[in-house]
Amino acid sequence: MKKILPVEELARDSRFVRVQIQDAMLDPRQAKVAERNTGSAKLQPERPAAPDRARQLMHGIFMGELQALEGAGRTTFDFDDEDVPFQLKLDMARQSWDESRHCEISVKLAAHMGTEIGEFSEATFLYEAACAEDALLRLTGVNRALEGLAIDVFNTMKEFGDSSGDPVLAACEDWMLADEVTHVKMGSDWLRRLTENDPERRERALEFQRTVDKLFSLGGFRGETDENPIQLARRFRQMAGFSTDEIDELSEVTAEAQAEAEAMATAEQQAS
Amino acid sequence: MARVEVTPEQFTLVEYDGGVIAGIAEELSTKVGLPDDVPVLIEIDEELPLPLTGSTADVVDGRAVLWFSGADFEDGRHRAVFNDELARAELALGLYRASDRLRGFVDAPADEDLSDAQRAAWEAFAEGRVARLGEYTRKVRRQYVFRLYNGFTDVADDAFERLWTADRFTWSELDALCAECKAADPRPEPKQRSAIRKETLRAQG
Repeated sequence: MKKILPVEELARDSRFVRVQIQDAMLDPRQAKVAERNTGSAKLQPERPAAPDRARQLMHGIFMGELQALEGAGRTTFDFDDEDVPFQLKLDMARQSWDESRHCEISVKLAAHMGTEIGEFSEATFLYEAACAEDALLRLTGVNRALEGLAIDVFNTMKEFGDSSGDPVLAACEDWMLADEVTHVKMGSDWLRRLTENDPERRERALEFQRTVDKLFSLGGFRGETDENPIQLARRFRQMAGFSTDEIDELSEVTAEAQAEAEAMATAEQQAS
Repeated sequence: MARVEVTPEQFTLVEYDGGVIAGIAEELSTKVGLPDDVPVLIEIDEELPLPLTGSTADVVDGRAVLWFSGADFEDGRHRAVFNDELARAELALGLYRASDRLRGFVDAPADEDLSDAQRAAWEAFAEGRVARLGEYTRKVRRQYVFRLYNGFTDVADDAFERLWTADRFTWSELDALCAECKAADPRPEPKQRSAIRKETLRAQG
């Protein structure tokens, strides 16, 4: 079986349509919407179009879970015992099992909200971050950055379930959130163990994580203000092994990403 | 056949065709029973992408005035591309609601003044009828919207089924049904109304 499976070879049936995330960000309608006064961007029942916003996010979560399963599964397989400790591969195998369970839960939650598989397009950036040739980069890029994003997303969805009184959504997101904290902690623990005597390697891995974190703050998608649909979940990140300094740094990265997206939107508009 | 006018005539941000939309609306106007002498004005806000859906349906000076977010007609898998099935369902739903305003819903508030619970109930009543026209509909999605604004309770689920399967309802009956749901709903009062409001959004548009 082939090692390091390219994103183009992921198994998908005809229900799935792939998009590039840049296309969505450069959609001229986004700049038009940004000009309007639509109030807080937090996902709450009283926000405009809350049901369809929640449905689309739930579909995005399902796609993320599917790619997380594929990514963790590949990491279990792609590296030999001389490349990484066997215990790390066992952790990735355990994570694969968690992600497969999350896929099933997400499909059922999407159905609960009236969403069909493939109703929305798929961006494959999560799996792409899981294709790094260095296992350590996968741990920082996927486990700490992307599973960290999953913590923020699940916590936001759980709060949406709580505030909308949806007991199914709130309970399911809470269960998945607990798993995500474990996945991030695996990344944090393995990062420290694998780089215990190699600070330069650790810094390179953390730099990769910062790049992924910025990319996945998606121009203001995540942050700590009312302008951000997804809220940074500080408490759960601390439980997952993030220091306060690391969370503060991430908060700054998300603010930078938002400022850059706004500048890009303004430039697009001036050009048109 | 009702006279239909679509604004804008030319779309610049999405791949929609005003003529196609007008044609669908004319066909559906007859199917939903909108009188031929009621002109239909349809405004589509093409600046709103998925998932920013929303619509209003009013009768103003004897004309059916429908407003849609462009997202209502957008294919979720192909950005800015028109989805015929969704558009037909949304247009039929809007036309049913405008038609209702000429019959049992004459005393209903203007769309901008409806509560989210009332809007969700009215849309459930309308989409159920759209389903019986043989058009593509999304019952579970509609029920999710209904539950969000009328409660995740057995009372709300029963009310939804009554609305979905009904061919006749009046505004006062629908309002009473929402009150039943509210009485059974343990959640606190919503802080504000939610749906995309064209006037709110136009303010800085």
